[in-house]
Amino acid sequence: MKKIALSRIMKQIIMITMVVIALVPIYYVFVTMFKSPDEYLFNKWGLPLELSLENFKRLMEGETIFRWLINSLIISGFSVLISILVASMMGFAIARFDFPGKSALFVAVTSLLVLSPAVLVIPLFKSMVKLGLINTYYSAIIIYTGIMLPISTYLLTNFFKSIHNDIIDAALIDGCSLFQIYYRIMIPLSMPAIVTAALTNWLYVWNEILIGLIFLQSDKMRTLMPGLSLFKGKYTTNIPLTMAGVAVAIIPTFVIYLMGQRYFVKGLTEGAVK
Amino acid sequence: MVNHSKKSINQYAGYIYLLPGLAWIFFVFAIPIIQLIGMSIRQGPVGQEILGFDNFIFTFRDPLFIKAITNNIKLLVIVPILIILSLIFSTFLYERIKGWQIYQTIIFIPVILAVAAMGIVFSQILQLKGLLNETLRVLRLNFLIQDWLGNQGLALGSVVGVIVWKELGFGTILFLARLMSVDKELYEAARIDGASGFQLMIHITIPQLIHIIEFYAVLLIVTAFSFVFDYILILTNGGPNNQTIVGEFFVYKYGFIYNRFNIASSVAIVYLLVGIVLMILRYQIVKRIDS
Repeated sequence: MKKIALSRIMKQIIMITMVVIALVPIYYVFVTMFKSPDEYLFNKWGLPLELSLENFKRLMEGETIFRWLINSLIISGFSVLISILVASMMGFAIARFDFPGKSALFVAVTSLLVLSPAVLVIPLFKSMVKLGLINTYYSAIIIYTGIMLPISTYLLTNFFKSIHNDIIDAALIDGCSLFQIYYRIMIPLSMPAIVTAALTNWLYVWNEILIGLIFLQSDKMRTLMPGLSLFKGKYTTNIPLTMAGVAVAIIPTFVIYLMGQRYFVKGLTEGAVK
Repeated sequence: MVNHSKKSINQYAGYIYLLPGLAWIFFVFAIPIIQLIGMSIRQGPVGQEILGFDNFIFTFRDPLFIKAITNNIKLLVIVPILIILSLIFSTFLYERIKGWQIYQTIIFIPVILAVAAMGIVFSQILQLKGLLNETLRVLRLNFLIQDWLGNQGLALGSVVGVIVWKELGFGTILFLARLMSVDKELYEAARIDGASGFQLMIHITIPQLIHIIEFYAVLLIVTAFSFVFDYILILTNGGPNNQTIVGEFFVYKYGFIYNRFNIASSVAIVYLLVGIVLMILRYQIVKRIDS
């Protein structure tokens, strides 16, 4: 019995260590963002002496980070919306129709999620230059939508396949058109899968930097994470200000995670395996 | 789909629903890949028209490229580390260790946070006067104090540490989800026979999870080759002295900082081939899970 108690304590110690390691970097962000550069010199890791919002005021004065935040919201919003729409149509076709090469198509499309975007950026950059779309929302939205298609199609097709044929047969007998079946039956019934796919995709676009850096190079068009990565060089001397920027970038993720935890966990784990 | 009279109409309709997706895939994946292949075999390393594979010979003779691909291979060390740690933590959670729900929520937080944001934090923590070294000093482990990201021999190892920090929750929750559907009686029977925790892991947990472990391994291999750009850019910027350069970073730096598209696209092609191998590998694993 003693041995069991001991192993239980060991496990708790291991778990608590894990939690501390997981949370320390986040703790650091949320205490440093309130400090002044002077305070940071003598109080690096402790709690802030006062909860001053001076750093956020300074961030907003420059206005750039606010602009980046808006850019990120617009680009992530539209890319996710379009990607889900396009993927749900493709998923509907793959799950519900018979055509030659169907399973090969499904495998080919979903396999693309393995490919590094770095492979695609040079030719895509050349195309976007030709189309005059560099430094516009369009280039980023088009590319993000495409890059998310494999995973969205994967998640949605699998869910569509699980919807009973009976429901669709009944709708056909009632005289529903194909579009009505897609729009009135498949989409509403698949809401859990759609929310899951949308959240996972949103997370990807929100956190992405390579495409952002390459296709949105002007200060005005930049998105938040690439902007932040440049921040690092710009404000190396003012760590608290940088941490306030980091906080602005991660707080939306936190809020959405806490609201939709089960969808995230599902989208990122189970969905990837099925 | 339903009956024969409807079937022929449905097939055409099916194509209409496929169309936007296919168009998008063509524009974002297929055409760039074709262009890339074209670019890399048509243009020479210094811009002249050289046909054939001279570009690849040039690429494979470039010590920096060799360094990049070697680093990608070295990063594969995350595969065993993360599998072992995820097995341990998912087992603890599965056993409903006290506070498991809170642990489960917290362990997943790093997974959702941006590498760009947390990388900035880690570059502070891992500095010479950063939190890690301060902690080591307090623990009287001064001999372990290092310039974690500035030391040529250590920087890549530190990057591995940050990847593990970020990815651990994913593997743990992935394994936990599968463990939940393992027959509990298997464990109970083994415990009655007096099996130790380690024996349970070897004889029950691992065999039961083997497919998901394989799947996770492929996912981590993909990460090591295709999705480490953010870590490198933020934590080390490829340095010190190019010691942490990886394929994606090479493409970005040569393509978009030095404007040497030819060199960058030859390297991109090599990573395309790596990607194709990974696709096949992933397909094999997924097929086995399905059956």
